[in-house]
Amino acid sequence: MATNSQRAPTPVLVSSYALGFIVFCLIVYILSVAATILIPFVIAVFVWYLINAMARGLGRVKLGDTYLPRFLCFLFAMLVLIGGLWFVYKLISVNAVEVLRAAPVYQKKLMAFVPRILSGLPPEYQVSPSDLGTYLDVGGFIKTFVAAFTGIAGKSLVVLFYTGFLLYEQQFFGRKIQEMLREKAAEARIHKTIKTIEDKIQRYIWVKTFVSAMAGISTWLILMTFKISFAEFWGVMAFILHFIPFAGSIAAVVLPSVVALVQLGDMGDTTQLASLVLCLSAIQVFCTSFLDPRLMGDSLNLSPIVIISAIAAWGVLWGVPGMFLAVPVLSAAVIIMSQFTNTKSIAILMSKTGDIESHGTGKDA
Amino acid sequence: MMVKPAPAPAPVSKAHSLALGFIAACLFIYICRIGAAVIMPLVISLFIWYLINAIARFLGLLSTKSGYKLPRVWRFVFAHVIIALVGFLLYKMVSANIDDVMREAPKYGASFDKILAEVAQRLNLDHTPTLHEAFKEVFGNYVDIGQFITVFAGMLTGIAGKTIIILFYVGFMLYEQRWFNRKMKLMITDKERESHVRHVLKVIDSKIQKYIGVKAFVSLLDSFLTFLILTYFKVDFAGFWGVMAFFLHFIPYAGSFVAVTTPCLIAMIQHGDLTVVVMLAATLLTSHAFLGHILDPYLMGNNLNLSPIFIISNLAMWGMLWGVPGMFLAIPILAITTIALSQFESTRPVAVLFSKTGLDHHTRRKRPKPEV
Repeated sequence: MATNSQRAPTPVLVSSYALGFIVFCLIVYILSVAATILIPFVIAVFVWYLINAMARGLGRVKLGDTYLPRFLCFLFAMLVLIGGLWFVYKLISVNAVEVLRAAPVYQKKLMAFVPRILSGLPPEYQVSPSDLGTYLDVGGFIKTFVAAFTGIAGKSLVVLFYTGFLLYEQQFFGRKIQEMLREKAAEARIHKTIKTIEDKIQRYIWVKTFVSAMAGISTWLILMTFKISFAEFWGVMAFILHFIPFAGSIAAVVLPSVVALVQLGDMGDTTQLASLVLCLSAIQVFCTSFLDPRLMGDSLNLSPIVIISAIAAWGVLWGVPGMFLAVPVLSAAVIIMSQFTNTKSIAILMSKTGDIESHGTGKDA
Repeated sequence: MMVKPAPAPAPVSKAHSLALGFIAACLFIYICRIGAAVIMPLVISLFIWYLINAIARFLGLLSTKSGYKLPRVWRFVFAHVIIALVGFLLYKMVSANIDDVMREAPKYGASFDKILAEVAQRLNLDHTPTLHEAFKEVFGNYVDIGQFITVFAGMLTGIAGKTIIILFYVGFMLYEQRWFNRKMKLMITDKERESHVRHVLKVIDSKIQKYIGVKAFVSLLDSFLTFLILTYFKVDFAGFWGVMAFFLHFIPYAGSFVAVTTPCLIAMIQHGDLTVVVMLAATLLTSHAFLGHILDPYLMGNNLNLSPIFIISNLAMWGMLWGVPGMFLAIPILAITTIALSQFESTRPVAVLFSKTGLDHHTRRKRPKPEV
């Protein structure tokens, strides 16, 4: 360390911070300006990644004496993924139409309901209906969310192109990296970084998918037992929303509760409503605070403050798709930064406990 | 805490140059955006200038049995005449056909809607999509064929409107190129460095000329073949699509996609006979596959293999910066940039990144040749 600081005198340090800041600003600017180009590409990278992960998993399956041929693994993985995406898309688009049709009814009932709750409060806390309308726009929220999905589906052709070319070109990636970095040491480090990122992201995706599926199914079951309409729609929504930490969980509790509030509130059944909200909250708390960290281990050592601000920032930049990408991109960025001495301090700052080395070198030692 | 071995010394200078390069690239792209009105004619005239030089050089290779070669002046005169004729023909053909296409477009839309309704009925759909909706469904809001044709026509006529500027530029480039060497000699006083720079520039120049020459030749072939095929199948506007094929050939993958699908769509509307459409599609695909994947790499010596991912994203980027003309210039720009970057040790990694399979194995194959 001492030799390092001798080698790099202060002016260089200042200038590299300034340069880093400029580069960061430019990257953010590009992300916002070129969003229409970059979003399909990033989605394609994710789809490509999922296909690879699934194909790799299938490649380990033994059939009798032989493994499945590589080509069949990829074909099967693609079919599964496309089928799954198609299913989710259909479910959402079919249900969304009905939910949107019903939204004004809910909105009206809700507007009538809220003043009734607030009637016990002193007059200065009363809300006018127009104010309420601007704050509680159920239809508007669902519309933006669904529009984000159908928007992605509309870009599916571009995403398909990118995914196909990524699958085709991945055979050359190793050679290209080798050629780009002529030193052996740098190449080894890059390979290690890629491996670490791959391990962490893969784990993140599997754990998240599993826990989200749990959250979705249990939300669906609870809504079914309470006989709330559109139970399966909210189940799928809970599955998807769980990929957005914090904000998604809150939405997954609040939105079905609003529907339930209107549905059950008419009957004046407050105990049932309260128990439903309690159940939904319990699921989210159990999944996000207990299951997620338990299964994830410390592989995703990110500070909650950083996560929340990253989600907000990506939401501003890219809307709903950005919110889904926030955490995976952030964790990849932290892993990359932790591999270089100049950027290590930033990685430490963004981590939860500051212990970034535990995973980078822990396995090799 | 375990005592860890000291980390490797930080590659400060490398990171700095990477950051600076990134900033410069961003600013360069930004300048291309705001200076489009100035830079685009300049880039187009650079291409034309290169083409004239390539043709003149090609004419210089020709000689009769007795060893007579065209004198230099005449070579250039011929090159000029050829370029001017081709440009004029292109312009005439497109502008003549555009009016027809625009006039016929609504009729096509109507008959296509009829076909769609038939299909929808056969599939028992309760909602019959129209052409416009179908396009939206398939391509998102990206491509609107009518708008595309309008923009393309507008671009060509727009470029024609800029012809005077472009002519000026090309003229001065041709006029000034004779002093280029001298200027270089005076600019770089170091003798050894000068010869190195000259060598690198020569390599870049010959590669770019080869790229543009081969591409133009194969595109011309493509245009001609497309015209013949479409005339054989009696598809409307064969001339127009022939010209389009010339430009679209410069765009790998995406260009071929457009050049095959749109005439097939027109044939489907026109004939309504699926066997004809399938045969047309098969013929067009074969010709594109032969030209793009066999003839192109063979003539190019495969020293320019661009990564499809970068081709597509580059198309999107230049489309955003310069509109449709940008999309046609995107790939030549990418190819030339890659050629130039591959010649310098410090920027070679970027060129490798842009390439499909890397660059080393091609040079390795060439290495056995004796180096002088």
